[in-house]
Amino acid sequence: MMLPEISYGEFGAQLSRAGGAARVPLSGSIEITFKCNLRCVHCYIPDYSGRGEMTTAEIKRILSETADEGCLWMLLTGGEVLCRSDFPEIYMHAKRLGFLLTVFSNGTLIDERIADLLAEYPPFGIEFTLYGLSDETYLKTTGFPGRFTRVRRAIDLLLERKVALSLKAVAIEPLRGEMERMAAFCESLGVRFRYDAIVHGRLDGSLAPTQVRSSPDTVVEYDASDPKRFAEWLKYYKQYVKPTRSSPYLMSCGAGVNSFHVTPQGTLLSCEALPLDGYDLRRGSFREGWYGVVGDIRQRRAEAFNVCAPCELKALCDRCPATALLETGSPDGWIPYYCEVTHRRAALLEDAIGNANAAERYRAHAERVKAGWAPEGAILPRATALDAGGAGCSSGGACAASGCARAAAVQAQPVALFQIERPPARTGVSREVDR
Amino acid sequence: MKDETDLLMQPFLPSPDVVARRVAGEYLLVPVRSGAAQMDYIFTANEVGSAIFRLLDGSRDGRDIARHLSREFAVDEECAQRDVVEFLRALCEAGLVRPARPAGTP
Repeated sequence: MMLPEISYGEFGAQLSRAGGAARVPLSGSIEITFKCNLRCVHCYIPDYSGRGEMTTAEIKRILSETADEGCLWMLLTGGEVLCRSDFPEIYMHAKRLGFLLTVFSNGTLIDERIADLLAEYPPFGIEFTLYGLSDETYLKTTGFPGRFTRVRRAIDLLLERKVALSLKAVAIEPLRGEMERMAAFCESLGVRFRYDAIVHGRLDGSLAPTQVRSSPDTVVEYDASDPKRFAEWLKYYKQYVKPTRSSPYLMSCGAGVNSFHVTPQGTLLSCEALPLDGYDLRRGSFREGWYGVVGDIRQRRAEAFNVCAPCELKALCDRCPATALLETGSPDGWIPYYCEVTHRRAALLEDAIGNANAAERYRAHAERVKAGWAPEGAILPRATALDAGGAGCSSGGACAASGCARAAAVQAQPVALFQIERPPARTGVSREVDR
Repeated sequence: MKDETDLLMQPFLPSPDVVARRVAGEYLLVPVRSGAAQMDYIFTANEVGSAIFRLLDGSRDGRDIARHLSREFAVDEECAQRDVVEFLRALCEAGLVRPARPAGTP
């Protein structure tokens, strides 16, 4: 009997529609540790000691509770997950709960024992972050020698066992010149590769990680130089960004609606980088937290000084309440870096659409931001002295994208079984825009 | 390929390496171990299918299950038996269930 097939995308959309209305926590992530064997230049973790982190039993209990509430997609991340010696026990517990389980790792601690476990009980996916293509680059980006050699071996161990591996990178300045090579490396392996340029401030408020960001010009050059990546951006822009409408609410993503995060200390949050309205899972159940305080963030309205809330490009922008909080101290803050990247990217996309006027407006806005202009009343990144240059950015007028104007104005049925094909783990060449 | 009599007379059990879950109203069957089932897929069953799967306890055979369905869903027993056979065949082919007794065991 041939079972009817549903595509994975269709299934996901169907489940999200059903779960969204009922606020089912379909997707979650657990940082099982902040411990890490690398010291990456752009890392947002302030303390790698592992102090006060959840026990094995606590993590297993929380995983079980999230499954009981309907979580399907679960991510185990860190830190480096394999810095916990109990990772196999946690992983197997999660597998036995029937999650579609993804693991994020730096790949340096994968050995044959772990590779065999992942082959026998396959994850939905495992992703390594690449920090270069040589031990020399890894020394610069992660602080330790010999790490690429380890990652390269781990890649072989997983590919030999046909584990669903994909690779990704963060387009930071120390990797300038290596992004193309990393893409070619992944293509040669037949492994999916994706990258983004998102670098958060550190969880303790330090802006040190942001110092290694690629320049906005460089980020947009990456977009322009890769036809496939650019085509994905263009599709996303037409489909999701152009129809964006202003919203009075702080949040515009799915955090706290269908997704959640748990920190190594057992705090339930709507998002990994947004430590607001958290709930201590060591003192209560996931159900109490999810249907209690964690949902409150969705009701928060954007403050009058939140110049990004009415922005027509906000769906294109990597600035969000979480990144804003880490960088400015306020979830309503404004981040010039992302504002410039977004407007340069939008200009490029409008050029491609043939809308020269809009492209010019966006480009002019990006130039103003680069020159140090800031919207009046906006909360700026810490330790960044920018001139608040007035109600408009003087980018030729009418650039609603900046939010400047708002800142100034303040029964029996046939039996059926369907099979849903998993998305391909090894799709060859693709670089996926991380959206 | 099991014939209709096998499927009706033989009790089945869910594979120990398949997890059945209800998520946002959908009844999902998720294979978790290589070699046990078609790992490239996850499966979703409708209400009747999920009722059949939940009744696979290793002691009920297909006829018992069909009787149960006939009562629960107000359909005639012959129709229910056809559904059970069709569904069990799909489950077997996907590796989601196994016979409760080894082949050749009375």
